[in-house]
Amino acid sequence: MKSSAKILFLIVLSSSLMMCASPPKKTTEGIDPGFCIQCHQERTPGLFQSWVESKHAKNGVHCITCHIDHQAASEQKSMVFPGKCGECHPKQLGEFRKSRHSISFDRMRIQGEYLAIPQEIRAAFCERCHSIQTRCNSCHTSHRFSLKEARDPDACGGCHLGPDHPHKEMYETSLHGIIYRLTQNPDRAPRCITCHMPQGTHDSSFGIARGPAGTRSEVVDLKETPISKEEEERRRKEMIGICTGCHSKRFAQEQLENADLVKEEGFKLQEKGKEAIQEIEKGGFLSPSLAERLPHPTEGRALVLADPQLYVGTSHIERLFFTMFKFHNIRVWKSGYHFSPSYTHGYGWAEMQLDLIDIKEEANKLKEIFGGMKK
Amino acid sequence: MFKKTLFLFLILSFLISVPVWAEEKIGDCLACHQKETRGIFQSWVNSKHAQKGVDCITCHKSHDEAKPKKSAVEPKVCGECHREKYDQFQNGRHSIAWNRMKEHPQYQALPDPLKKAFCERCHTIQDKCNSCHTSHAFNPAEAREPEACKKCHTGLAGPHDEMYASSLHGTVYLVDKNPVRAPSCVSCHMHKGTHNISFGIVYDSWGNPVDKDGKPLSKEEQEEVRKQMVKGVCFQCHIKSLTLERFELADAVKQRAKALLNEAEKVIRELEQEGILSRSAVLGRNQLYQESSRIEALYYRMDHFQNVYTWKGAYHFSADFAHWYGWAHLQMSLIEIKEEARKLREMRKMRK
Repeated sequence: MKSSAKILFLIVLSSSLMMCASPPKKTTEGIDPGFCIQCHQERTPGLFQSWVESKHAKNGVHCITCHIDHQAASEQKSMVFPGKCGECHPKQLGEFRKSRHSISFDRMRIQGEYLAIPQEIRAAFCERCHSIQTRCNSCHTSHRFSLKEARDPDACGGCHLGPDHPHKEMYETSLHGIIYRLTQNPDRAPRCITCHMPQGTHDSSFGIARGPAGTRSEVVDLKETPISKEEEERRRKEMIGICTGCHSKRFAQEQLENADLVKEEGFKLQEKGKEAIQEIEKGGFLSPSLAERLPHPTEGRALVLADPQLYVGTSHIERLFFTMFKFHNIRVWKSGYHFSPSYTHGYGWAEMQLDLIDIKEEANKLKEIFGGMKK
Repeated sequence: MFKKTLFLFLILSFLISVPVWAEEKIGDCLACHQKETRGIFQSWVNSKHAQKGVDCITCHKSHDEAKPKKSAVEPKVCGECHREKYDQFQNGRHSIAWNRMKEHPQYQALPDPLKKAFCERCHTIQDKCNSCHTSHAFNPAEAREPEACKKCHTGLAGPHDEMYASSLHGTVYLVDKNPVRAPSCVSCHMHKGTHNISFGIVYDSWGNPVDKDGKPLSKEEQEEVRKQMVKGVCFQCHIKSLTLERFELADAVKQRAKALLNEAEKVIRELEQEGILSRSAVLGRNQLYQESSRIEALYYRMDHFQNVYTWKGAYHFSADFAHWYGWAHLQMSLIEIKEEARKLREMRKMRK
């Protein structure tokens, strides 16, 4: 009783202090957006103009609706979290929370790779994309929140590109991507969201029956537990439902099953690289050896090959394998599912084979050059 | 016959009234060039130049003068009408691009035909307004598009276009084509149409804080230059605290990348001192990508490619470039350099 009175007193005191500190014009509902606009129209004209042209502005959704008040906004650097957007868009928020997008920041934080990056520069790398967990405006960018923009493959391409997961490049070199680029017509050929967010679902994990981040072969749910064979088949069926918009069911199934086989071959080849390195490690040829290097942030002093292997502080032969599994195997199997022959073959399979040659040659050299030392 | 007489009469009257430059008239040029170089002619017809009576003779002076120059028109000729833009251009690094290239050992080490096909194609910007305002349309709308910058600012040594295109700025601009929604290259680098492309840029291509002439900038001057960019450009859409935080983050990335380079250099210098390298190594700015030891070549990739992706990627807010093409590859190269050093040492022991 006593403590709750104290809390009430503190709330009253702090809110009256806040009112004294900032003199915003208050209406019965709160702060008048005119108060924000009188400064921000001039100070941040780009942001203001985008909002003016948005559907939000037309529907009376203004600064205060999302940012609450100047102080609250200031404290969180103007960020607005999905929970807030969900007050008006509950269906989309619910769907989003079923997707792997909604756990991407949490997953990043426990990754060895993330932990091995100097803390003060992590925000420039991983966090920029993985913040999607807490930012609807990763795709619906501020302050236009344009649907047309969010639906464009380029909106996904800002994160889904580059050496570790070139989804954008795979798509652009597939027949799907080429026809879409030429026609800009989603009825002619699919764009990213046609398959991954059909009917506007915000569960971007829809129909995906294969492993996360492309580095593991098993399929897991949001809690990282492997899914059942039945669930896997159900998801595959979901996706084939999209393909049958243009393709026969038999054809779609055949194509995806072929991609399954490509994936198996990729992982088999990867194993050969692993074996060569395990042998070298047993022979004591790794430099720095497991004892000489910093322990892996999550795996300790173990030889980590493939996920969650690091690209930092290992031996050269392990680094060759890093390229093989992280950059090239992912091209083999994911491009198989995205139907890009140049990525799955040239940039993927051929590169993996070349990596394997490099790894074997390096293993021979290590034995030849340092073999005497071990005798 | 009548036409010919009239023509001669007109020429004569021109020669009398404006004897210095009016030996030739636009009609003379068009008589042939309308047919022989149709593309050029058509571009000019639709240009603002044509509408305003700026014709062949205005810029090329005369047929005899144009021919030995292969029709090139130098910036100072453009500057006769576009004085302000010309002066701004002279303050930016584009205006010394050719001179800097000529001094660079990598340029000097190339055979002549390669020089022409490689470096010179872009570095001519020092003497070519039509690098960006391409002939003969000279269309500002075209020159403002990121594509216009891309011709040179792309690829291994300076993938500015790729960094921009993979940043949120580039993503939004490429979808909307609306510079109010998100910046294009010129929004930040040619703010309000300035032709001083060094506007708001603290570092040169090597990451050194210097002015156009290579004079180091003091801490205060660096802050002043950055302030131009941050206040003039970023604040149009972003709040102060977040903007400054982003730049400081990029500064930290740049320093961390530099530290990795230093670590790699140390490994190579030690080998040098031990007499394992056959000659002293040139590392960094004046380094060549040819005829060096393999360990130096590994450093070349770090310095000229991966380091650039890391720090410039950070200032362009492309996480993918800064991290995967940059930082991750710097780390992997460092592993390779250390391994190469270890092997070189061991092989020397074996020879003894």
